Amino acid sequence: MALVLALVGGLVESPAQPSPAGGAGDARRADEARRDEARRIVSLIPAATEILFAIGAGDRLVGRTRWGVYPAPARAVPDVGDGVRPALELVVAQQPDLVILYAGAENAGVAERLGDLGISTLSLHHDTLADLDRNILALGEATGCSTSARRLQSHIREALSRVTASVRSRDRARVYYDVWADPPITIGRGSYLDVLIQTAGGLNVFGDLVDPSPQVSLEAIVARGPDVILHPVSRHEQRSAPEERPGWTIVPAVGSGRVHRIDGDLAHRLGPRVAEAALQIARVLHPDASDLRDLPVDTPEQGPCLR
Amino acid sequence: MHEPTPLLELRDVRFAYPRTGDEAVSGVTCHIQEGRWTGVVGPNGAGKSTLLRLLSGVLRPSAGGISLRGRALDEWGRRELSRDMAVVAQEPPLHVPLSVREFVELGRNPYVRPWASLAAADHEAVDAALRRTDMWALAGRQLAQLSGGEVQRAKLARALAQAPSVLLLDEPTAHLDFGHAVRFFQLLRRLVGERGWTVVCVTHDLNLASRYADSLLLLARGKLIARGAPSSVLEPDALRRTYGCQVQVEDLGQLGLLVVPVAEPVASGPGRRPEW
Amino acid sequence: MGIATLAGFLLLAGVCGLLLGAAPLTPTAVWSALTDPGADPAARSILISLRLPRVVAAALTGAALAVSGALFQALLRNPLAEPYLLGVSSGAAFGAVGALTLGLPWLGPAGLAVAGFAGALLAIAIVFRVAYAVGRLDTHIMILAGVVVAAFFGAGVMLLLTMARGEAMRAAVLWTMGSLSGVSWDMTLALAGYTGVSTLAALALARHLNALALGEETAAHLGTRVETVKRASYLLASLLAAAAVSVAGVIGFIGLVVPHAVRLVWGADHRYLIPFCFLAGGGVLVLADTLARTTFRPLELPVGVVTALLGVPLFLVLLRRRHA
Repeated sequence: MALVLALVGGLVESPAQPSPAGGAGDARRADEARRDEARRIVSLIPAATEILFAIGAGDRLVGRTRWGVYPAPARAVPDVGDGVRPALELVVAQQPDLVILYAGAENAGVAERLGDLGISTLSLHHDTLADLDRNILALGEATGCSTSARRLQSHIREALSRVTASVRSRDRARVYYDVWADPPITIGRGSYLDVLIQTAGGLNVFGDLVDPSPQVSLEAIVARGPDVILHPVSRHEQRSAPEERPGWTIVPAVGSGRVHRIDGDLAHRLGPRVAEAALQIARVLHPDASDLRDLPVDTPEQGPCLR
Repeated sequence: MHEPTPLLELRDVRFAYPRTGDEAVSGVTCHIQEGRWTGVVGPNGAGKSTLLRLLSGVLRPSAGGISLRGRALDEWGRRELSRDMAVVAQEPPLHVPLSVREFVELGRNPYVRPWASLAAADHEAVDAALRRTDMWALAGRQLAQLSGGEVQRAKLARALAQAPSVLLLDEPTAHLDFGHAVRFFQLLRRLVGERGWTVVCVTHDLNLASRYADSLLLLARGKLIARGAPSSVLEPDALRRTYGCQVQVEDLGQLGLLVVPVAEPVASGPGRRPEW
Repeated sequence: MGIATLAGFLLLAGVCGLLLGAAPLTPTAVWSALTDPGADPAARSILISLRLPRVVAAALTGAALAVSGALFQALLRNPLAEPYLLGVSSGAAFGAVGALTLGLPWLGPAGLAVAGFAGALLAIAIVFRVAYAVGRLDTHIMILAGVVVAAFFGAGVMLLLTMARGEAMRAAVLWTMGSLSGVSWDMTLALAGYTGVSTLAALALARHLNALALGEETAAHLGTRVETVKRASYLLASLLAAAAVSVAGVIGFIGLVVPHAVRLVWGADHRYLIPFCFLAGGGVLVLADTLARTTFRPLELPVGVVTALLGVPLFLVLLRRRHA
């Protein structure tokens, strides 16, 4: 039980970790019709905070979650706490006209309560690359920055395809993505990280599992024989490295020294920097690929709002 | 002399506990007269306590019938019955955090409506019961702090507060020393005299039973062996057959009977049952 | 005496609950938001739509749990009895988690409460049916049946959780930890009617519960219809627990310890115990929820954690003083 709590605690604290896709086709649900552009926005999704800055609506933010501290100017926006079961008092105290929320069971009541108080909400599923695509447009529409939203969208698409192009001719590395150590939890087909690994010229050894964050066994990992282990490291998370875990030495990637640390804070945020995350993975999967070195994938953190 | 009217009637009453199926009471038929003290005696396992629980309505006969004042016991409501009949049972040790007064106040339960508090008349009845049983001074004490004799008097006070006309007692002096037992019975007898109570009292002490009861029922293995005046029931032959002891019985007139053993039990062999 | 003390305690807790919250508001701002329709609309929204219903719901939930615990302890004549002993919470968790895993989140918090309540009713019905099989409500069988049913539904919840996807799992675990963050005025009003009526009904049984403490036969001798009283108190206690758990998830400690504490201070007479538990349970949960909302604001602690962490040491001190 303690483990489950720890796990869920981890998930709640870093909401951008691979999280399940609930009805991908129904990724966006506008809870209220919005005729006017939002002027005072509380973003309870860190990735949405990044998107808003990128499309030029960052100056309208009046609230962010504890973890929505990227890009740098976001730090100046008032912190209203958690994105799951948010502290409604603090949200309301900011007198927002739009609140951006995770769509999901745990926030089902939140949209309703805010609606009762006359505050519009935008509930977003934010689990897949398709979600990201849709949500950028939705946020552009809500803020009246549709043109900059479309530009951001194509910018991300192009950057991702540049990464794909530079690894196309290379052998695909077999990858185990290390979400959690004990019990071992990895990513499955439902996660956007599975797509990022493919984009980066890798093959997720558990890519056949539908569950976006399946629990597996060490035996299964050995049986699938990954060449590479990707070990995401986050600033606020202390975890043992795969090499230090008893029993993991029998995994081929550990024996051959191919355990690679990647920036978990970047990889686990499905936002404008997603191509950077893909590039980061591509570099560790293909260390000898010279054309990956100076590949331009950066997204402007802030831009003007274009209508 | 005019024969008193039967208050409780038992017609071929039988009772078997569901688990074992053995009959604890098998075919008892008798009358209990109003205003009289009826003692119930008999060896262990004779069915005395079961008979008392049948009379109090907490057990239902498997066969036969019991009626109170000519009405089947089943037809009496619990509340109605408890205004007419009080029971001093062998309750388990009282670890309940109640004061004596609170305990006696429970005797007024049959008179109080839901949500209502005790009325003035109820408080009077409780006060009177505490005084009458010499528990007045102990009214504020916790039940757990009482001695054995005081606990029995507290139960009697509670029964008194119920203002019944029938009182059933199950070995009320079982754990009392001789002096306390005698004082308890004397108190009970005074109350019976004052209030005209009908008493049915299960007891092990044959001497005390003969001293205070007007008539006795002798039970053995669920059957009624003898009934009538103590001198006719506590007869050496019947006692030898029911208890398996050779006894001598001395009639002390007003002071009741004196039952004393004269020899080793006749049924000394292991597992051998007394004969009848 | 007791009633004034405890009513004062509940009132004080309520005032704390209204003054303190994630949004820092001065006492003057709180007062004008509550009384002046022209006050700052944001402050008014926070007080009237968020803080007030939550304080009221916490009071009612705590009251329901404490009264339920007192009834279970009387019915089972077991000081360890508490509202969740007989599987009510496991049943409710099964219902709520089932609804979450089957993907019925569109039901919203009210729907989740309904699903939880349905699960609790199922557990109550099974325990009642089993314990009533001998023609009377046997409290020993009831405890056994309750513990087994609780274990069964507990395993059911674990099964559902392992099959659940991350999002449903997160919601489910948050639900089982207990929280009052989802309550709205509608739920609060429903809870008020329900808890009020049940507590009044329990008060009608008070005298008989006192008699029952002396044993079932003695209670019968004192005019109590024992089976009726047992059935009624079982249903009342279970339904109160079911209502509390459906609205607020599993909040431990209050149902076990508040009745004990009240009994230690004011005695075991149910005519007083029940209303005192209502007030004390309400006050304790309002305070605990206020702490849960404000200690690490803007983050919230599960309120059950607060009730246990603070209540247990306090209770131990009380216990020691009494028996010293």
